[in-house]
Amino acid sequence: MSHADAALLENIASGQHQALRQLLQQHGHAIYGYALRRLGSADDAEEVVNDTLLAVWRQAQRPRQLQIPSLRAWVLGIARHKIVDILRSRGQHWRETADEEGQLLDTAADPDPSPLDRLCQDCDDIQLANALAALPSVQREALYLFTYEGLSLAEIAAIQQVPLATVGTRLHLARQRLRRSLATTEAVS
Amino acid sequence: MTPDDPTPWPRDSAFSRRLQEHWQAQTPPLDTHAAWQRLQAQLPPARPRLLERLAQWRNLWIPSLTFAGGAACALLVLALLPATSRMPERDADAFVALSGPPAAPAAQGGVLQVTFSDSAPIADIDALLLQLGASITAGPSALGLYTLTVAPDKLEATRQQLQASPLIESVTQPPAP
Repeated sequence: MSHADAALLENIASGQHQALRQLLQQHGHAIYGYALRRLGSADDAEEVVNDTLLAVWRQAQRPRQLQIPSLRAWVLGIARHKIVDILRSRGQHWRETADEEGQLLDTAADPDPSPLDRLCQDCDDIQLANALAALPSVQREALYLFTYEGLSLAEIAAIQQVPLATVGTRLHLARQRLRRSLATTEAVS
Repeated sequence: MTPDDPTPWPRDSAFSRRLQEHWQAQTPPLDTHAAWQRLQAQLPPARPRLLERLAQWRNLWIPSLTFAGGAACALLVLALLPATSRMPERDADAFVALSGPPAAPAAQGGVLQVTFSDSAPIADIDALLLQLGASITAGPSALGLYTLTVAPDKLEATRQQLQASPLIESVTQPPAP
């Protein structure tokens, strides 16, 4: 965790409202976007932002030292719990779906990463949205955190509470599925 | 590229950028002002910072320190005062007659008690006492009596001469102790 983040967390722990406001300005949008991806409701996403920051406020003031890889990852990890709470209240749950081809893909090398780049140049937003929607939620989540939030594999592993290798596998599977999905769409069109 | 690669997905690839643009376009901005107002309403009152808390205590601790400092100074002065400057305790049982102490300080000679006239000049009194060989050894008492000491053999003569002087209002010989 950077010195700035540690100082911000320390100020929150000392009960300074302005520090929490600064945290909202720095990470609120990330929490909101992350929750919105999974919940699809702006109201629910705003509730996740609110509940997450309240949880940060309470947890930061506990005397025990927090083991936090990065402030962004910690905050998003808390947000994930809030998202799960909302999903549970809807009668849904976060599906930890395993890919049916996972074992094969775990060891398969990607011979050429360029086809996906070529495919995406031709796809439109709807095709891309459909391809992303077809991904298992944990793969899409890992892909989002990695490419959009710029988190490391370790940070994503902390958020998803899975081993580091599992995150790598999820990203790899997501890539394979997207390529297959976009290629199919292109062939049909 | 395998799942075990530290970077299983190239962040700067065209597809990564395409995904970022896609998600960016799909994410409306968060109204942080409204979010903060909602959040602030659920927070406990802010604890004042250390300096603010010290400032709040200022009204209490400055008078307290001032009082403590004053008390310490007063104790120090009392401790340093010389013992001689303190008033000795009076013996409550001691009795002093209005006419003065019962025994004249100079016991070597005759003793007379006199009252001088109010209009008598001091210089004339001094001259008279010198002439008679008498000296004031005590007084005045609360009644205005002075104790004179004279030679024992001239006691009666001195008493008569004093009675005759206009400077003297009364002459008495105190009883022997």
